[in-house]
Amino acid sequence: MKMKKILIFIVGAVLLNSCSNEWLDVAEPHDGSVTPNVLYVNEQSITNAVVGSIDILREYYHDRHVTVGLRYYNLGFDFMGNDVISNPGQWWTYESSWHPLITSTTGYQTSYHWTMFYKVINDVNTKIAGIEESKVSDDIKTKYIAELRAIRGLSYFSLAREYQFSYAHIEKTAPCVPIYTTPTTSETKGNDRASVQEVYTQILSDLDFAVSNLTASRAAKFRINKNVAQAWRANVHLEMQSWALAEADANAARQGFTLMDKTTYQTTGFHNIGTGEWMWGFPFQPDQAWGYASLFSHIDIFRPQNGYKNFFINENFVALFSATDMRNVFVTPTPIYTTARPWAKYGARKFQDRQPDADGDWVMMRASEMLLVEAEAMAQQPAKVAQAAALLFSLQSHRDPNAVASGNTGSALIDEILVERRKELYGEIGTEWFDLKRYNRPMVRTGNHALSHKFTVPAGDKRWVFQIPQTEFDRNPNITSQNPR
Amino acid sequence: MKKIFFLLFTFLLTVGVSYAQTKVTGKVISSEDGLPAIVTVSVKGTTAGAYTDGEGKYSITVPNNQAVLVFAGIGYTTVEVPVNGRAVIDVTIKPDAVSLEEVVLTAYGPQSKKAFTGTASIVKSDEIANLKVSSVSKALQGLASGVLVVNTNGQPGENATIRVRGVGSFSGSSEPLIVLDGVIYNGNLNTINPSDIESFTVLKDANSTALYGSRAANGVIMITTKIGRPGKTKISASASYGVSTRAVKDYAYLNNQQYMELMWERMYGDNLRSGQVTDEAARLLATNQLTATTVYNPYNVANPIGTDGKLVAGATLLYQENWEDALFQTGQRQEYNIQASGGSEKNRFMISGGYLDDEGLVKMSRFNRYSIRGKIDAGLGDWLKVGLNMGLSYSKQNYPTQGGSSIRNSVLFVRSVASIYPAYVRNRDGSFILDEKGQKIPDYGRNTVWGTDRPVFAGSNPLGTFTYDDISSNRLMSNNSAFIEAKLLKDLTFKSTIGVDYYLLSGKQYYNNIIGDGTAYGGRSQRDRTTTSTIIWTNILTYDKTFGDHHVNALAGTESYDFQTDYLAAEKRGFDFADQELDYGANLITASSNRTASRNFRYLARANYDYSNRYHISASLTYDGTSRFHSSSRWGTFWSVGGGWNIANEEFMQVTSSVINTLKLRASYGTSGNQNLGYFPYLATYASGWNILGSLGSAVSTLGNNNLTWEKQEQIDLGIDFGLFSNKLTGSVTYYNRKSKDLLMARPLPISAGITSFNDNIGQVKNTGVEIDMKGIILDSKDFSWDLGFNLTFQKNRVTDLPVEQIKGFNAANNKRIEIGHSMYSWYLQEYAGVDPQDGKPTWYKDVLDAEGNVTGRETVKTYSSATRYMVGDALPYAMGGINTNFNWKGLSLNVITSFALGGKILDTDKAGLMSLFSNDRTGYQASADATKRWQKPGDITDVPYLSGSSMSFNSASTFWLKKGDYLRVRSITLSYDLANFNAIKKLGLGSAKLYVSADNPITLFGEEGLDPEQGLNGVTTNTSSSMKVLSFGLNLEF
Repeated sequence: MKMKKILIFIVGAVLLNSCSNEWLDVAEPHDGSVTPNVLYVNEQSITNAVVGSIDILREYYHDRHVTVGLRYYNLGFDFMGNDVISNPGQWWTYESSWHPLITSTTGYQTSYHWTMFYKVINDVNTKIAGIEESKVSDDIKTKYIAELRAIRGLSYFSLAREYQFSYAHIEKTAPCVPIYTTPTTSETKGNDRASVQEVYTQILSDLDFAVSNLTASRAAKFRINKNVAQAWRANVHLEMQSWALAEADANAARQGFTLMDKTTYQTTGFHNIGTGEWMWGFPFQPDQAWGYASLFSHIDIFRPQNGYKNFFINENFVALFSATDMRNVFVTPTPIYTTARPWAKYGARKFQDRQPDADGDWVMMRASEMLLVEAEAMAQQPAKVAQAAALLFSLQSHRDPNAVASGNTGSALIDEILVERRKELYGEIGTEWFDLKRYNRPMVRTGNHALSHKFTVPAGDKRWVFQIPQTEFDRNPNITSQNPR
Repeated sequence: MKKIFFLLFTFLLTVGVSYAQTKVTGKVISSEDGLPAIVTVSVKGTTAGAYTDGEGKYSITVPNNQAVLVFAGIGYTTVEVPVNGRAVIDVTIKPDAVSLEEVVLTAYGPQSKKAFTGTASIVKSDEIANLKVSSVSKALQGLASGVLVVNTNGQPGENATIRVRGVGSFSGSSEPLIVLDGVIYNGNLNTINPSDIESFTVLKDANSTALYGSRAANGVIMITTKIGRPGKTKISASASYGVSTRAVKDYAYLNNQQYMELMWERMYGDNLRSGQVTDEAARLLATNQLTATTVYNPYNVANPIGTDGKLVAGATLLYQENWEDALFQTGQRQEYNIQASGGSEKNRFMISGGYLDDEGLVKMSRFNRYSIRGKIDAGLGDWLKVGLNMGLSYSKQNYPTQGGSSIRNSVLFVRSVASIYPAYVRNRDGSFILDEKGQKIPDYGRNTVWGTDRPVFAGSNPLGTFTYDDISSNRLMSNNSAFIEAKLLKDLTFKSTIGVDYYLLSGKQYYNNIIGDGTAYGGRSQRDRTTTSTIIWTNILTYDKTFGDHHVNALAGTESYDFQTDYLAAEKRGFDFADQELDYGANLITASSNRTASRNFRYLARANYDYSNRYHISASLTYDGTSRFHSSSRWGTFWSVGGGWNIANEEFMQVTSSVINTLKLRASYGTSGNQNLGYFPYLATYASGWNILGSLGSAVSTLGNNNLTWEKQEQIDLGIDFGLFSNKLTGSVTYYNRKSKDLLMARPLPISAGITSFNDNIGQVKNTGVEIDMKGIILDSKDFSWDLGFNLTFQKNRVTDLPVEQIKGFNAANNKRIEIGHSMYSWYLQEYAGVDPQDGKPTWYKDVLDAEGNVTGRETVKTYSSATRYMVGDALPYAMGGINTNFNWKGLSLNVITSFALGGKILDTDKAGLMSLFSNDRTGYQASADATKRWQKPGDITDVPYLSGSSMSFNSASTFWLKKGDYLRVRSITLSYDLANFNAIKKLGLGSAKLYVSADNPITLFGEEGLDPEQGLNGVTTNTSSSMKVLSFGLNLEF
């Protein structure tokens, strides 16, 4: 019976051996997902978090081959202008025709922009909160939070420019976009649209913090340093017509970057992130190339490999370039040109892919843009018109050895700068479209666009302001107003 | 020790008083199988006793002639025999009815069937013995009510999908819990040798599954393997050989003449409709351009179709390819099993070994399995028992692609490449071109004979790809458990069981560098290895006591469950040799590993109380914790109650007792959970891989939800069991209502929240049904017996709550919609309105709306994209079941098993693919014989539009391709004869020697040609291989 007593004891022990939560806690995922407790441990892990946020801007894929990251976002606006032409039977035709699929409630572009930027915003908000709670030094915290806030500032700025009229042409109390500065949780119900003023206050608060706490040094050119943050703030000030602030930021931002020479411009200048003029860009390597979805599949229409090859140039725009301008890289006829396809007359050898990889790095910001922001901001200040003209000419003469200074002043000078911005930046950051919106001007299609793409959008037309995706209204009980159609 | 003392005492007693006593000897055999039985033989009223030996013989000394011998043993009814002065007493002892027939295996211990208050389906080994199933998952089809078993393809070794009482989860798993010999089983079902199985018990109601708490919501299937019975050691051996072909014929295709004539008709029609040419010119153009379009020409003249659209005189057919013959095979199936079992009263064992070799429909498709299992139960003294159960199974599965849209898929290939294209390279005169070894060469469609590539699937031919490619996997399953059981007090038993399983799945995918889609990479090879380990420890204390009319059985215990899975894979591209190992490859493309885990802990308790064999109640309680949820929401309580009333045992029923032998009402209600929602569905995570070149990055991926918890289920069962005419007709009818709530779904967030949704407990689904089981013994005479059984289940699945009103495109294909009030598997499709007799164009219905958007009527439209989509039925059957019968006549027996399903619609996209009607983008594609029904001239009444190069979307998803899923399949017919009926055979020492022939899936009654009615739960065809028809013969020997 002794044995039995022992056994009864064992039984009791086993049954009473209550399971603790710790025993269940031992199970952890190691399935490629990362949990917060490893992401905010030290500078290296925090860098991992920041790179992830930037990479959303690089390769966030919405649902089609024209909705990828910030670069395709920019390109879409180029196609909405007059200078760049789309094949009417190809991707970008909807952008080019201002189709409801682009700008209205169920449009794919509006859905892609809205989704991508708010994904970035929540990603940044979550990471800022994570870094703030981490045990790293305050210096490290500030540095990385500054980089993340710069990204958030850019995101809100992009949304504000798209979902409302330009700052100078709208009531500051008008509804803009919802603001979130804390991480989304399961309790999040959604915010209403904040006013234009509130959104711009948020943008400046983020970019001011970034500019104050970042330095020029950075680990790689895709990272956000002080120059990049300052450049973004320069554009914000330009939008807000704070000319002096725009001038100062643009000037400070472009320090340390030099304009590229003719050879570079006509060969590697638009696929090599190492180009000295690039202030910000995204690198690519062959195994990250995306085949048909890749950027150069769209915009290098001359490459030997297959691709969408849909980036044609308006003959009227081509006519703006002198023969000796290094930027005159236009080719006619293009491989697909026929008399039935007048829109295919001109192509540009601006964006040449990196052979034999059939891909290349993406340019996101160049020093020449900042030079032109500075020139425009000075031209708007009566005391600095001459300096503006001189600065403009320094770019013009660099691009074209035979350039002659126009002698323009006043609005003529400003218009000349806007044309120069188009000539310099077409196909890069949607310059023409955003400038038209900034100066509240109509979009007038001219030249050899396909007939279906030849129309005018008057200044102040409702279509300049994208509608917020319907799904936001379906799911956000607090959002109250939609942009009209 | 006790036994030894006892024997010694008996011996002393025997020796001491032998002069006054008589010796009785004899043999005890079992009435069940005529084999020796091991029992105790004792003299009633004394302590004198003896055991029978291995041959059933005993010897006992009795005090006097009036003594009564008592024969008793586990599993047998106790028999008392007065000695009456005899010296030799042979006894045939009957198996104990309760132990063999009347026990239900429930969670953590058996229960008497009479007292059982729940609902269970039991399928015994003899019912499945002759089924040629390579995975036990397929065995239950048609044999158990409430259990839906659907084959998914014809690859041997693949598991069927099993659903118990409908589908109760959207995002979580709806797989039932498998319990193998009392231990939760995580491994692949195809690693278990079906011939090792003694029985399946499917526990369906809440009360019998409740002890499995958070794992019970989808039902529990208890699989019990064989163990020896006391008595002479039994050796059984079986061998079978069979050939397998597809159970359902493939679709009928156009022959070459039809193909060329219809292609001509399409080209002529297009020319004419272009309005650019005259009728005459349109005809001539079609005649002259025909073979330039098809590229290959199976006729001996350049333009085989004349301007009248008919084959020209003198045109001779050079060949007509049968791609089915080229790519499919008649499989061979061999299976060998040997088993030894036996033991004594206290020690029992079973050892088995098996080998299976099963070939599938697609060439190279094959499954080999080697399995061994050993079981020992040993009694150590009177109060202690230990047991060991070890199974090891190794299998190799060669799995050439046989489903989906890859051009490697042989089934797709057969349905894509027309018979005008040869499988092997031919000259223009139809003769084969041979290689230097005189072998035929697969035609990849890139040969120079016709100058241009084959218009369909150029560069591909599965004859090449499946020869050079290798898509296979090896599985090793080691399934082990051991227990110790101690009788602590007279009525109190403690049992501790530990189960340790280890499963290794090793996969290989090699795409060669010579032909097929591997060539783009110079060949590519991926190797992967997944291991899973499961450790389960169960401790149960059981109290069982009978006093007077009262019987109490209560148990309490704990169970811990520790699971880990580990994955490792690498891929290289660029190979110079045909060697598939990564060491021979050039570029490393991926190298990855990951692992994840889950743990469970459960406290459980159950009490059963029976009064006077009439009233039975049962209650259980489980407190369950899991690692899958946040520590604040991971513990849950599940409970159940059940009651039974054996009316037939009531006094007042005595008058009808000659007719009604059994009549029982039972009811149960309880709750359970489903935790199979992914390993860490509640966790906030970042996804790695947001890298920029060498800089690693992570981005927010999922939103945490600390409140997330298991899906819950409430189930009610109301049932009646009856037995009439000496229980020759038995049956039961059960109604169930299974409400699943707090279902895991993605709760949508505003887009501006930056994360589109998070996992939450929201939806609700209700599954209701009626299960009917009947079994009748129609004849039972000495030489002839005949029984008939059938089961029928009506089931209904309804979504009752969702986070949004409807979810479109659920379940992979975008042709379903989840909507409140409908089945989870509801079709949402365009409704086909037939062909306009005037112009031959297809039409669909479209709702007509008024200004407010209300539907006021319907019209037909000719543009598919503008047609309205409607809810047009359910992919799940509303009724299913089986009919089974056995005839026995003097050792000759015939056994038939059928299964059927009613309702359940199938979207036959495979057929739609064959009805592209020669559209330009499908030039050279295989075409259904139904293309001949095309519209030709105004006034023609047909469902098939005219042939046209531009697609009119006729073959896009619509109700036209939605086929009724009603079917009846004879799963097996077996005719066997026991050769032991011949004395000459019996003298060889054979207990039985059954020779049989069987046909598996010989007959399928189904409305649609070409389509296998079993297409998975989803009901969408994807060019998969179909179920196999197996004709086999075999021999089962027992020594």
